[in-house]
Parts: sequence; structure tokens; C-alpha cells
Amino acid sequence: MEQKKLITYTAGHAPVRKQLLLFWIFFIIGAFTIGGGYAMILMMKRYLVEQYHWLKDEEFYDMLGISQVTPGPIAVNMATFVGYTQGGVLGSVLATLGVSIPAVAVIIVIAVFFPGFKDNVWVQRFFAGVIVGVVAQIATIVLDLGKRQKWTIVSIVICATSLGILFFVHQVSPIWLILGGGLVGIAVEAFKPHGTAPAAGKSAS
Amino acid sequence: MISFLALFGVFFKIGMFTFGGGQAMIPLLQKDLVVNLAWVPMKEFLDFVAISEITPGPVAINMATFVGYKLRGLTGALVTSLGVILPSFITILIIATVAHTFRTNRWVSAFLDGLQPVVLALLTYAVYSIARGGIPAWWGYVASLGILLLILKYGKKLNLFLVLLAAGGLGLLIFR
Repeated sequence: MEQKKLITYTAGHAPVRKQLLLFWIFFIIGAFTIGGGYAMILMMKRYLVEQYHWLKDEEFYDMLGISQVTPGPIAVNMATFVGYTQGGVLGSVLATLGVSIPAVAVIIVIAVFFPGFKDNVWVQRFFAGVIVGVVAQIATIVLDLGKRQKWTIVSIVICATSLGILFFVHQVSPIWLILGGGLVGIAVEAFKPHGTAPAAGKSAS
Repeated sequence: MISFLALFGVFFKIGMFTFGGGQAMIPLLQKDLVVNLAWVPMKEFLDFVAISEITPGPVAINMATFVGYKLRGLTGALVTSLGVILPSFITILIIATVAHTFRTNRWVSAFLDGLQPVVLALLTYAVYSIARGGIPAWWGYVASLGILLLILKYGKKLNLFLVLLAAGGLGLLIFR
């Protein structure tokens, strides 16, 4: 049984500077990632794991997983989560505002000043190009997560089954897959013979 | 005129009952706003979706702002955005408060271990469906692969925003 602490609790006595930094980081993430929550993951990981070392790799991906079982946009979930663990309640408010304000502001500007925005051919071409970049960024996360995954028979079966369902059964809500995977994880743990602790997690850095 | 409370209520409800991110909200929003309440005509709704997907920020918040602004102006936009954000915010705050025992609890840890391969599958599928829906030509895929290799090779030294900007610039040049 791993005894890693998930979260480094600095909540409650986080300095104001850190709370403002939380706002700023999530504002940047919200302002500069086009294409919704999935497109933000790589940039979040850059800032939160690699640059500021607030989270370990594993913690980051655990939060990402939890963000998908809880209601609402993934970006908001992540911001609230990281904001709270790093900066307390005020930190969570600021991080959530940070990731949301650009989205609200840009839409108001477009609605007021550029109603024909999306029909502009240059906008369409630019966006098609951005998608090329977004796809590459999400693929980077896929490779990273695949590398870090503890590949066992169970995890291979879960992953393959989920992929099969996603590709061949249309209109399936991710929540059922996520819950299904989690329950399989619990079942495996329940039926595991006593005394055989799982191998310690890879300490990939 | 639609009351602020009704606007808030619709978006709060949708924020509360959609899981797996903003994209999952679109069919629900459509059902409520276009069909049940008839606040937004279908064509306009599809325009909102298209714009939300090409603007910065979570698609759900973009959508909420759009609908709120169209129906009740600036205050409406703030009311709907707050409505869609609050359920996630509250849920996560509750989880984060009690989550001291995350990986230290055997069952939570087992749950997370079972869930991670699903997240991997979801992201893999997202790569496929976003690419298929948004990349208009085969050399777009080649460019995407090239960018992936760049990110892998240069890692942290690469500014991800500039990568997106450059990709957009490339789109201006090559997509017809």
C-alpha cells in the first residue's frame, strides 16, 4: 500500500502572493488555451508540476481523474482543486475566477463587437491550424500518461474495454466509463489475497 | 422577459448534472434552451457552439456567457456563467476539504487506480475525435505529428501558447 500523501496542505496559511500567483497562472491558462478543457491539461501540467512543483505527476493525474467524476467543466474543477490545496478557500476562488474570466470576457467582446466572427474565413483557417496544435498537445498528455501508467493485466483490460466502448458505442457518457473503471479497481482490491501488497509505484520523475 | 433566477437555475442545473467536462453539456443545453424552453433558436445555438469551440476558455463557460448575454445582457452573462461554475466549485471544494486521506485510503486508492486507464482511454479518444472533426486535410495530421515530436524533443523549453499561435499561423497559410 502506498502511503504517499496526495496533497501538500499549505491551505489556510498560504501567503497572499501565492494566492495571486494562483489567479495569474489560471488566468493565463484560461486565456491562452483554445478548444476547451482537454486542451488545457498540458499547460496546467507545465505550470503546476514542472515549473512550480506544487503537485507531483501522480497527484496531478489523480486530480485530473477526479475532475472527470465530479460535475462541471474539467478546467473549473482543476482550478478549484489546485486553488484550494495550494491557497485555501481564497486560493480556490481566485484560481476559479482566473480560469473563467477570460472565457466570459472574450465572449462578451465577440457578442458585442464581432457578431460575424465565426464566418470570417481567416478565423476559420486560423482555428483549423490551432486544432492541429491542440491535437498534438493532447497526444503529448496521452503518451505521458501511458508511460506513467502501471500496466497490469487489469489496467490493460480496463483501458482496452474503454477504448472499445468509446469507438464503437456512440453517445456514451464518460461518467459511466470512469465509474466502471473505478469499481473494477475496487473489486480487484477486494478480491486480492491478503498480504500481497502491490508493487510500489514507479518513481518516474 | 426571462428572469435572472430562471437563467441562473437552468445553468446551475446543467452544471450540476453534466460529468466529464464541458463538451458533455452541449446536448443537455440544446435540449433545455432550444427544445424545452425555446429561449434560443437552433441556428443561433449552433453558432454559439461553433464560437465557443474556437475561443479561449472552457466551452461550458463560453456557452453560458453567450446565452446569458443574448437573453439578458451583461448581467445575464454574469448570472449564467456563475450558474454553470458554482456546482463544480462547490463539489470540488467539499471533496478537497475531506480529501486528506486520498491515496492513504486503500479503497480510494484502488478506485483511482481503476479510473486512470479510463482517463487514458478518454484522452486517446479525444485526440481522435478532435482531429477528425477539426483537421481539414491530411497534411494537417502530418503537421500535428511534427508538433508532437517538437514538444517531446524540446519539452519545457517550448512555449505552448506560441506553439498554438504558430499552428494557427500555419493554418492561415495552408488551409483552404
